[in-house]
Amino acid sequence: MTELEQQLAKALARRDAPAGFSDRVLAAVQQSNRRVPWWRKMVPKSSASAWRLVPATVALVIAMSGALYQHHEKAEEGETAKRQLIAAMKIAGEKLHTAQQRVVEIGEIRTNEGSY
Amino acid sequence: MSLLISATRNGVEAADRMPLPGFAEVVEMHQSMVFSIAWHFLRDQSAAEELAQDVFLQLHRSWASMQSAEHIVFWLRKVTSNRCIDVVRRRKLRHETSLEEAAEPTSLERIQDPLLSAYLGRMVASLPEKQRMLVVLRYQEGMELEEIANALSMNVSTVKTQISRALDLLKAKMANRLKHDLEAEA
Repeated sequence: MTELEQQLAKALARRDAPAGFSDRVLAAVQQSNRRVPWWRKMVPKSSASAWRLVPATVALVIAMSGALYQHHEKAEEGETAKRQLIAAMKIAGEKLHTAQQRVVEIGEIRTNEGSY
Repeated sequence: MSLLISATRNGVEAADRMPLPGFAEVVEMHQSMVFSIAWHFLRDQSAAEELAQDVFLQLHRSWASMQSAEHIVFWLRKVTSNRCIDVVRRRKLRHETSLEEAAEPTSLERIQDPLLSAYLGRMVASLPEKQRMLVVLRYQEGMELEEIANALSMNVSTVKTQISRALDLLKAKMANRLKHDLEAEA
């Protein structure tokens, strides 16, 4: 080891951490352990509080089911109406086609009669 | 069959492992090491303390992955070093006091050892980040070149070259300062 290296080892000797450092670290660790995510704060800690939430939860579930059922019904009605409209348009189209064919046939007969 | 001490890639010596101590014990045992690396690198008491505290908090979060007492030491040195470099790069908190910017040392610094150490410490703080950390790990922690290379994910040859360059730079700075002092005295 050169003289400079020896001086460096002296100059860079370890220093004591500030007083109370380890206590502050352990306190910070405890603090970070205590930090809970937001959704955990919503959940009641005691079972009594949890039971009090049951009716509200049931009501919420029923209301949501009702809303979903209504939405489903409306969607179903819409689908039926759509199917009926398509069928009606199809029938009308077929009838129109038949009538058009008939008109063409009559036209052809008259043309033939005229040529004789 | 005797247990052979074999250095693994991450610097943990597989044999010679001690049982894992408790977290509080680890903080007590290594607070000086972590704080000193940060202090010698940053030369800022409060920044060094904050960084050291963050390192221990991170250690607590990673506690489950700690394999041995040696692994903890390796991990602490590695994380502290990387965080120090990150802090300086991120905040541009460069304490690279150039030779001209460094506080004027008195001629006593050439005589009294504690003052020379303080002066040398300031000179170390003026080195570029990587070189500074290499010097701190080498001369504060007395780490071998291979250990430093593992901790900082560098080649051993690069570590050797960089330390050598850092020493040359320090020598030049010291010589320059000495010249200034002698001229001032004359």
